[in-house]
Amino acid sequence: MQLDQGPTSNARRPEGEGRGITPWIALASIPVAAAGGYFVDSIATGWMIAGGSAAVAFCATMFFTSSDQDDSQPQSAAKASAAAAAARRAQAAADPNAGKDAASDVLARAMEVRSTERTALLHAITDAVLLVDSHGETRFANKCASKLLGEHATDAGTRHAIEALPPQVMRAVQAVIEAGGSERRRIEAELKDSAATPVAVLVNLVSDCPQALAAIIVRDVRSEREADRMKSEFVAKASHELRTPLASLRAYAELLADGEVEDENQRREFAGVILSETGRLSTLVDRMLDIGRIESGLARANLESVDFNDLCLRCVEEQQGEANRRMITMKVTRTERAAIAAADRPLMKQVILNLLSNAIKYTPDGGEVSVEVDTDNLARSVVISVRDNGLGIPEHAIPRLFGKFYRVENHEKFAKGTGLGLNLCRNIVEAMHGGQIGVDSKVGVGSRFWFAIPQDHAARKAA
Amino acid sequence: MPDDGTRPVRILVADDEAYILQVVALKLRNAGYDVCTAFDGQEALGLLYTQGADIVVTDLQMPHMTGIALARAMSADPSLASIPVMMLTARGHLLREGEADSANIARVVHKPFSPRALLGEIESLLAERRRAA
Repeated sequence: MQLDQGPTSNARRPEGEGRGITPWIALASIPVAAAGGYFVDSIATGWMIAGGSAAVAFCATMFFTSSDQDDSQPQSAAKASAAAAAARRAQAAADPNAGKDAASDVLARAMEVRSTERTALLHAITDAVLLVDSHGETRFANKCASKLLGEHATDAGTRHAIEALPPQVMRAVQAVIEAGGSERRRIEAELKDSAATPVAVLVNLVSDCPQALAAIIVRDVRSEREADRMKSEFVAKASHELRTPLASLRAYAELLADGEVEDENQRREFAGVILSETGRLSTLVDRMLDIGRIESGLARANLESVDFNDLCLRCVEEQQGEANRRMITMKVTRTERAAIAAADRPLMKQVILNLLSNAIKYTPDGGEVSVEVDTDNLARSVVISVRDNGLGIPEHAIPRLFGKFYRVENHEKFAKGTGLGLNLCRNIVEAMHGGQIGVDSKVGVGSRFWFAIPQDHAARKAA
Repeated sequence: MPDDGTRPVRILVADDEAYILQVVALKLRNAGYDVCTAFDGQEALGLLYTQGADIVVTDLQMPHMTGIALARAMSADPSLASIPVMMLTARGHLLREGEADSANIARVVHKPFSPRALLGEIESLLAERRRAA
């Protein structure tokens, strides 16, 4: 029997309920209140995630603030209560007994409405909510419990749910029931399913209930674990990228300090390496901070009308010196149409310079790099392309190219980089401007990096 | 420093970071060693077969063939298995327990390192080998 219906069903009422639906309302309130506690705790312990927490918070707020005397009861229930009072007053004058019966009916309906609403809220919670007795038999399960623990795991009057949970949950149920509400247990474990789903479980005693019942709230923490894994991976990669220029700095400085470099030209060369590696370290830290600010939503684009024909020309002029040194031909192909979009000019310049600098770095001496400005009338966007006839990028590397700290194998021999430049470009274009960035490339032929900035981004943002 | 008075000890240094390669090579050459360099594990393995070496100093993370893969290839080949390997790494924690032993890695030096300390480690390793011989 699946317990996903309203708590007013007589067949599913717990023993000892001589007060109509009131015990069910109390029962229904407890896990949500517990869920609310869990939610509040989870903020402190870092359990809280965006997904699912809103529903729990909403339910918790509703239940924390509502009571039989409370003004915040649902509107439909309030109306029914008012109708009941009116009926009671009207009929009491004519027939006191008839009035009492009618008022009772209306009140019962009012309570039923409230109870149904509370049950609906319980089912809307994206954590699994279970009520079990001291034997571990299920008394109530919300819809999420069925999804997480299996359809039959939540059958009423069975131990399927508790058996689907790690064994320490049953021990926690017994412990909190024995303690009589003075404690609650928090468990991090894995489900017995094939995926060994990691879960965070909170076990709490249901108070104000004729029977000893425990509320179990189970949260699927796969996304938190994945976020933790990604964070660790980021820290490991960042540490590697920071240590590499630091290693050069330390080694070159030590050799100079120890007087091991006798040749004046070589001393200058070493000083140049120290300067260059300091710059690399500084760029790396700046990019890490910039990406962090964009990803956390702290960075805001200062939109203004940007003429990309003009901006691209200026960027090419800035890179001309390096291109000349490498005997690389640079050209700009501008569109005759107005290539104007609302964008953050310094950030757009940063993106174009980054793509240009990469193109020059990975193009052999004597090669060609070009910038094309175009408009896509259908998509209403300005499209900038940076082409080169350089090394090209292997197909397998393309999906990872805009990720953090990714460097294409072999390319590291040709030029140094932070492995963050393209990730920053993607963040600037996509997260801050609602645009798109991509690459077409063929090994040995060259690459075309492109990005598109919507011309009506400002209007869409304002809307 | 010459090992037996007839020819200097040859050290093969492999790192995909050109700056590290340059500075380590200079330090070791200044100390009297014969140094050859490689940008990755594959190039290093090729040099071992063509030129040989008395000791290999290699970075862990390199394209094509990592330092670990190089050390494993060496320990699997009887003609190279006796050459001690010193691993340079910015990710010491990623060198799993037992990995150093299984791949015949004699020393692990973490980046950023002191070239002076690296030279000290190499000399101590060579002294150990001489004692064991």
